[in-house]
Amino acid sequence: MEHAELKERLEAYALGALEAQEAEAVAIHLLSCAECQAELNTYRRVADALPSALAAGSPLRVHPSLKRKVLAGLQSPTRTRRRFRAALWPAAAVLALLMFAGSAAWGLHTQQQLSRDELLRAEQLTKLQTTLDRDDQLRVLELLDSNARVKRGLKPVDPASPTFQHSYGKLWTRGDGDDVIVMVNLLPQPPPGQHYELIVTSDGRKIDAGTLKVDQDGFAMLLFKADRKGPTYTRATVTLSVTPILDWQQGSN
Amino acid sequence: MDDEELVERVAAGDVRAFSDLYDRHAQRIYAWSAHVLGPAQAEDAIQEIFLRLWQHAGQFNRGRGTFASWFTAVVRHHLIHELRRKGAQRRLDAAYEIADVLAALPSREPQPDEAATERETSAALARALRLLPEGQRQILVLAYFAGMSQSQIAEQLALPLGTVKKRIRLGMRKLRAALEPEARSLIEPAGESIREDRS
Repeated sequence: MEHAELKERLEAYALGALEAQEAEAVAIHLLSCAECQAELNTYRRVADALPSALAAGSPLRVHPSLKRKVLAGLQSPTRTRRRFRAALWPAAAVLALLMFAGSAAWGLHTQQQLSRDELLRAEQLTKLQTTLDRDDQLRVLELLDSNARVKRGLKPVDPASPTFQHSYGKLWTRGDGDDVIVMVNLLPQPPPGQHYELIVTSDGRKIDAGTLKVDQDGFAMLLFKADRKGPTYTRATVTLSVTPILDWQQGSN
Repeated sequence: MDDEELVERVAAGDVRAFSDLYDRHAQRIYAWSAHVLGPAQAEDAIQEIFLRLWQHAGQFNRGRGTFASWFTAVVRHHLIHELRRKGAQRRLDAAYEIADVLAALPSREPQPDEAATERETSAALARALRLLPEGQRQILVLAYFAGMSQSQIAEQLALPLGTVKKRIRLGMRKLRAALEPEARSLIEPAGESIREDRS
């Protein structure tokens, strides 16, 4: 898409109303377009102001006793935190997903709607920029922006797993280069002494592509070189101490 | 002390700073939560959201924007996620309720601690929201508060997708003009430049 066409989408992007693929295109364009970044900031201000406008017109008022409950929750962190974590796990998952969504492409159908929030997407773009050095940033951006890119979705091996059912990943290769990037999201920290690995299969041969280090948001990214330009993988698997967690196989998507 | 200084203190475990942030933002978050989830669940939401703030204040980075913007994003994700769990009908009901509130925004009484520019901006935004054609206001609310995509909105309202896109663009541009003093003349005198979108 051209600059003018993408610029027309900034209003919807700021509202989080774009479809996942459109949002992806805008997110990538924003990385290199200062004009659109500035324009987007003005629409962010609008979106951020909407809750205040609602509060100004709403007759609903917060009860003073609620503050005591909130503060009490801070003072009994063990009990409250356990309850909080159980209750908020899905929300935390949403947050992490949204952050992941911002960095690149995320089209898992069931999570498309969750990938539309622009604000955290912008934060994730910054994260991408701060996580990688300049050369690697360029490699990632060139890959994601390449017309020859190929994307594969990694899904939970056990969709019913209470630990990994929300986890997912994406793997990108490009037909005209040897860079490969994988991003995974909503992964819990591995138990002590264990770690996540990415295993790719090429020509019937399994290759350990590297370790995925999960950050505090459950997000991990691995950039590596394939052994040839336009690698043709038939399978990609994220394992936790050899147990497959996420998987993609040729023909599955 | 501004919000950004307070949240940095919260990250260091300062309960008083947390209390100040609560005082500044609780009403806004509560009204939002109550319209979206209902008053009963809003209290739970407030507790969860502010506990999250307490636990994750260190993730705020002032180099990336204001605290208000960051916290608004955190709250929106939480509320939209909770709203989705309640089903499609509740999403619509909440959106229509919110649209009604925004359509009837009063002229605000100035707050004692509110700067003149802030007061003018809030008043201009309220006026712009009131004056938006209903069709534009409704679509903005469905997108922002109910977390619906353009195509979902088009399907829900039985409108062409192009019409939804156009109304989002027009609506957001009018609201942006309200927040930009130099462009505010575009929406004043009230209503003259905010005509009903008949697309």
